[in-house]
Amino acid sequence: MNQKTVLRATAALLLALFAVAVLFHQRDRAAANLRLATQHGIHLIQPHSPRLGPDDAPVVIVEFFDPACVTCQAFHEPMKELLAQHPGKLQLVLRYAPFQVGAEHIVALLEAARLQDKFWPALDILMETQDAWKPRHEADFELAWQQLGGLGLDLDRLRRDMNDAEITRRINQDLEDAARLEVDSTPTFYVNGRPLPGFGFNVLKRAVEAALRQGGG
Amino acid sequence: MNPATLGTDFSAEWKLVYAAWVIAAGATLGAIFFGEVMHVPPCLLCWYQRICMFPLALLLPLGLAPYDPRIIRYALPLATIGLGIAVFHQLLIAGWVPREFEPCTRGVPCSQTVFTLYDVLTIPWLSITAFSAIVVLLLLARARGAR
Repeated sequence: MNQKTVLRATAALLLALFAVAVLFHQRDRAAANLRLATQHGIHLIQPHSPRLGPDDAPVVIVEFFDPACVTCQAFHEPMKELLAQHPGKLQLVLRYAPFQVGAEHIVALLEAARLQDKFWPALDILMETQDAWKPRHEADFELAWQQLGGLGLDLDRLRRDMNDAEITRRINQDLEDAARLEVDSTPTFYVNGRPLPGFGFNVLKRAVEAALRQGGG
Repeated sequence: MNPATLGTDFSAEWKLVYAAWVIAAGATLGAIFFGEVMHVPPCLLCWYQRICMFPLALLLPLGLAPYDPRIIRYALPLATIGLGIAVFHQLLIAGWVPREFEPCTRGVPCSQTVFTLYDVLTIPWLSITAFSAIVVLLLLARARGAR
């Protein structure tokens, strides 16, 4: 046996211990997340939550979402494709988790657009143009507001509505629910009330397809 | 050094540096586990301690095969500075260092303990333990090498 063998064996052992610890932790975490999601009194969905798709859809996807988060942006188009692949079978419910700097103003902007029935078109535009309104990785409300010019919105009304106390209440309610569910990163998904076993769009897609099979979809 | 024993010489000195490496590698993986797996965000002082600990995990094995006693000279300053930061961190938590020394920033304040294992083991204590063990082991190895 030489020195290198001892070093390699030690490194392999330490890495194996690390991998086992990661697996155990993920298992515990998944169980804890499921417990929280099914616990009485914690709300995955609020009456104010924006929904896309029919209310009687067999599969409901809840997404804790931050408009200023790049990964949420990356998931936006694939999510629309997924919804289009299963028409009438899926409903997407958005919960706000504006963790990025300045993101709560972007959520307020979306909620104000919602009062003019333009929530989803406004969201599409803000996702497409996210780079343009996030200089230095901070969400800039003025720049985001400028992107919405082409939607036929009453932009002055939009600015006034943004400061509505009800919008602040909704954001705070969503952040409170996120904290109770221990959602600390975005996007975080729940499919028919169950947290995902891992992270990634394919994980989400598999969970949705499994739920569709179970629900007779 | 006799070429026949090159790479196969497990002297007491070698074993001491090897033990220091095992601790450094364990501490490095532990820090990555806290940060990336458990998502405990590292505070500023934690980052400075990481800056001292992570290179030890990579540098020490380079000095172990074949054994090069100069590795002690390169590793000791990292371990000593890391120990100093860890002690300062613990003093800050214990309240011995006035809080005014630490500005409030976005993120995690260093004076707050986020994680406690079995009531007594906090991350800064683990850091002090690991750094002191590495310093002691390297000093012992140096003393043996000087004989």
